[in-house]
Amino acid sequence: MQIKKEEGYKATITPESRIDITNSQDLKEDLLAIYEEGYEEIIIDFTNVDSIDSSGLGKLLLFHKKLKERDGKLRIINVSSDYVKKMFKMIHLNKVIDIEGLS
Amino acid sequence: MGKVDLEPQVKELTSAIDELINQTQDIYGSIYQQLPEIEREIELTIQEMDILLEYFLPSNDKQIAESSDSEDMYKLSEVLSTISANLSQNRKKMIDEETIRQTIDSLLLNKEDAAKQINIDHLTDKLIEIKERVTDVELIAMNAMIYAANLENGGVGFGVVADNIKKVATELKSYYTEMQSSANKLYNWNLQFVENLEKLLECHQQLNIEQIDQFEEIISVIFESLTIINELLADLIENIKVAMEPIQELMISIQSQDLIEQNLEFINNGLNSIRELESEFIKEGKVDFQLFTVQFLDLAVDSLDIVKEELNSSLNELCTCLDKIRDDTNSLRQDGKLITDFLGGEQELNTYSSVEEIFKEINSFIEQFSVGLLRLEQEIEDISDFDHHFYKLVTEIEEWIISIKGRVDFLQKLKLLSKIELSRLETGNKSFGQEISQISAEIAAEVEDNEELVWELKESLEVDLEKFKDILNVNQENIGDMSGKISVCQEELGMVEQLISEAIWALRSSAERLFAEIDEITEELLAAQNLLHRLQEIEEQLLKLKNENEVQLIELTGIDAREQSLEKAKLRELLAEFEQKQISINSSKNDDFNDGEDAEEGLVLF
Repeated sequence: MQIKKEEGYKATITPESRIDITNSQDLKEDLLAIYEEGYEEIIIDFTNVDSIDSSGLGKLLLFHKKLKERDGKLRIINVSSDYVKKMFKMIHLNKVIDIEGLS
Repeated sequence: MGKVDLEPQVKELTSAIDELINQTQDIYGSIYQQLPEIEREIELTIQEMDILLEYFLPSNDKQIAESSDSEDMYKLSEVLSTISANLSQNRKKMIDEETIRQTIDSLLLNKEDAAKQINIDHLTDKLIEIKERVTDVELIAMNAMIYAANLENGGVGFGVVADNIKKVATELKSYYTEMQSSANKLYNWNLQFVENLEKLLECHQQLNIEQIDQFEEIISVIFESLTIINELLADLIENIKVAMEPIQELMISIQSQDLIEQNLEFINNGLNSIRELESEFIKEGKVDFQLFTVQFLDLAVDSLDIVKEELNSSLNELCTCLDKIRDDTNSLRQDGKLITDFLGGEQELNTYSSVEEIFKEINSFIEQFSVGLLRLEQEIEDISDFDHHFYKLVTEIEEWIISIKGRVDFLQKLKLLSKIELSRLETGNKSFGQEISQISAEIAAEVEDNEELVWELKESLEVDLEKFKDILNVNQENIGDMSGKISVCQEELGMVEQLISEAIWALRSSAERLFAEIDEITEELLAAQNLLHRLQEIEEQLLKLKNENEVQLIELTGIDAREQSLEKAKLRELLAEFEQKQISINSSKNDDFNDGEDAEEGLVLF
């Protein structure tokens, strides 16, 4: 999982392959570490993610909620997998989280 | 050292051990009772999930046919399929497009078809011919006036005839103008009616093709969305199920309770025996009794060590297991709440809900469709009195024809009068009389043709329009049916949406109940830590009692207890029994554990 911290308020995290029960806790810990460093905008780059399960979705919703509580923002970019894109669209996740390419 | 006051100390110890036994029973009993409840809760949660799956997923017709109770099941997929089928079936018969097209064609016959079938264009052509004849009459009237003026006094009689011809010409022109006006109105009615029919068809096409296709697409998206929700929830439940699996280990750990209880009861039995025997051996055999007491207390301390070890190990195992479950489920608790809140909305706060968003499009579609239906109904309403206008205008034309015919009859009479008047004149213009005669005959023939044409037109369109009116009535009824069905569909969709949200909320409650059960067991275990402290206190009391008795024994005999043996047969036998019992209790420990290990493999909680 790559983490890129930019000067100021923004950090980007790039998870690998599948986000599921076996690795979502790692994602949570990484996100939590970035969150606790005070970043206002956390970007999750989905370039390499080809699937996500309920535990992965739970983490996205958790950090969306946490960041929103302190006027921050969670953004998802580069959703390359058609499955993930369709899933986000079908459950209207884009109405809650800012997802690039899904308006 | 003074005399050991055995009775109150033993009494206090037995009472403390009794209390410990009760506490152990309470704690372990409670955990023992809760485990099947957790098992049942997991089972129920999975069943709820299955019902939810059944509810969401598109139905399999074959399976439904094979399932005996399928008729009682209320499935979202079936509701949506029924709504879709209802709309598809009804749209086909909502408007009879073919008949409307035929009506338009019969009203808008082109010139090639016009030769075969009568239409409003024929009437227009005929009116042009009549107009030419009316102009001819006007010319004759003017010529007659001029001719009469030239005759001076001799043409007074013909002058009267000429005046009458002029009057008839004026009346004919006036009647013709009125008839022309009615004919124009009929023509415009025709155009307007065709335009209305085209609008009706356009409106129907929009509802029938564009919107129904859109509806089918929306239904398909709903199915896909619900299938994804379904997968997410199934995944969540599967993760909870996996996280709960260590519950099986708890079932094995709580089996230690038997061994703990048996050892504690063993100690109490021994202490009670000491209390009972004290009075018997107080005078004779006091040393032997003291030795018996010390030797039994040795056994009791050993048993208590076993109890401590068992309790410690059992509580450790339970805590480790529960800690793991709690660690694994903590994240799932959070995921579960966030996901179900996102999907079904927060029940009490009425916040954003994915399900609501999924149904928003179809609800909006149905509202638009209802508006479209209303427009269609209005279009039909607008043309519903079409025949009234048609008959009114045709009747007007018929009345003007009768008036024109009346004037033509009068013109025929004037023709005779003009002949008489002209014959009286020496310079009488014979051809003038013939001209009047010819024009009046021609106009009479044209008007006759026109009357026949109007009659034929009326008869021809009457059949088409009556047929069309019947069809329109049926269409109106069909649209009424469709509106009714849309209204029911709207209600059903609202119900389905509500049921899905409720099902998601129920699932969340069920998972939360499960987590609450785990919390309760954890609290029980925290309470169980007190047992260890209590046990420590009892052990200290036992050791104190034993030491006091040992010291007193040495004081009495001068020999260490371990180097002495019991002389009284009764006490010897009793101690042997206790020793045997202790071996028996604790040898069953290994058996139980072996049984437990065997049982572990066969223990199926899920």
